[in-house]
Amino acid sequence: MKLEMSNIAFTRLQRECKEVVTNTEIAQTGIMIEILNESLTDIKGQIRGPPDTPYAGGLFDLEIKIPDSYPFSPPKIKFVTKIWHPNVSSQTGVICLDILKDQWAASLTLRTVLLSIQALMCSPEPKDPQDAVVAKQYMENPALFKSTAEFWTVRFARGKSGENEDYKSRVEKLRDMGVREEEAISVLSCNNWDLNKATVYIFS
Amino acid sequence: MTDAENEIELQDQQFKQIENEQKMFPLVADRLPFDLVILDYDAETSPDYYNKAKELANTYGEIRQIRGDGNCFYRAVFVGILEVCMKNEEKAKQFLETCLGWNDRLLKLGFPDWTTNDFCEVFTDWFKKVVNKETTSEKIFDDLNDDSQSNYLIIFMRLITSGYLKEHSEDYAPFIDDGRSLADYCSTEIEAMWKDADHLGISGLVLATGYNIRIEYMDRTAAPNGGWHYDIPADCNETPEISLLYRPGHYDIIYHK
Repeated sequence: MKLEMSNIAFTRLQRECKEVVTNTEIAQTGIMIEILNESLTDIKGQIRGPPDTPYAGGLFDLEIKIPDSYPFSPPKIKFVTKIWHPNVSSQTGVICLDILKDQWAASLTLRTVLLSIQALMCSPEPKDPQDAVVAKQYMENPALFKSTAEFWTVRFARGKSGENEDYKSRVEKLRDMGVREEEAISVLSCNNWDLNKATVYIFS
Repeated sequence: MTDAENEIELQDQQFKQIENEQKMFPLVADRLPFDLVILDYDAETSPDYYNKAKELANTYGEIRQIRGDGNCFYRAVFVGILEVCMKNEEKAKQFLETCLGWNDRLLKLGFPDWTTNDFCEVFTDWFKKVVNKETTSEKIFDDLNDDSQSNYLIIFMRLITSGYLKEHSEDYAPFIDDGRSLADYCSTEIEAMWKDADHLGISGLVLATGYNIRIEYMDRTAAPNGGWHYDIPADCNETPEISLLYRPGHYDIIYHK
């Protein structure tokens, strides 16, 4: 086993992982991690969609990469599960969150970071968007944003609430034209579920 | 990729490049003759700097260069303290006491407990070996030049600097511009690695460690007939044991003849 990070950092990270795995709060907070390799550089995170948000009931997976210079540089974290949120790229899952960039402090831990991401799911910051299209919809048409984010939660995050039949049928129409499901949902969402606009966008 | 992501990617690459260039220099170099500083300036094209360097060379015999990675002030002061402690057992014990005391002081200020305990323990365990002479000078400087080991020593310096500023928040808060709180300022400017120290950082570290410093400024404004230096704190009575040479954006350690 090759250790890139120092032994001190490795020991700390082991403790951090334990903190999240065994934390008694886990049932309440709904965050968890799974270690993917022995050197602890690849970690899978999971956040349960917070109640009273369009993400409620969903399970969101995150990719966590620990850099050699951890904890002096932030972990690299992005959503693997597709999510419709102003501060997360709907294409790549990249998260716009200050503590993952210039506000990182070595005193933060994986637990605090995951809790911050969960808090971001509760309170989007549309003025500092990662995804401009989503942010625009969030500010201009909150109801549409909510139903879109809920649809994504059901489709991509194993959400259990009922699916929006209207949206479902529009996705089906695009699929009948040979469009992949993911692309269909993404393009429809970006075009405020206007089937004509979405069709023009895809086929022109 | 979106423009924002491209930009981040580009920034990352630029940082990486600067970082790689910086890594050509040791974190803490050996003590070398001060004349090296004179060689950096040309008597014809920059006579002010050249003359200032020559004047300083009358007082200072050696220089120890520190890598310019944004930690240079903290690292320079820490190495300066360490050298004092390596020569003086009493002072070493005293500094260990100060550092041990900081653990509780930080927790009282609300620093998150187990990461803070971790940083404090790593630092004091390391420094105890210096105090108890369970390590050699060679090993000490190896550790100082080992990125991951020395990062832990530097973060401790940063935490106690932040701690001191927070303990005296009434004195320091008025100096922070752009409407940020002291806590905000400390977490983004002081506790964050690779961020240069400004005057608050300088004052905080000096008072947190109890080690006064003298800074010799290598710039045009400081040139008039030499001997223009700043002692920190300004009202310290004795000549500080640690002297730093400031060249725009960077600190190295210098040694009296």
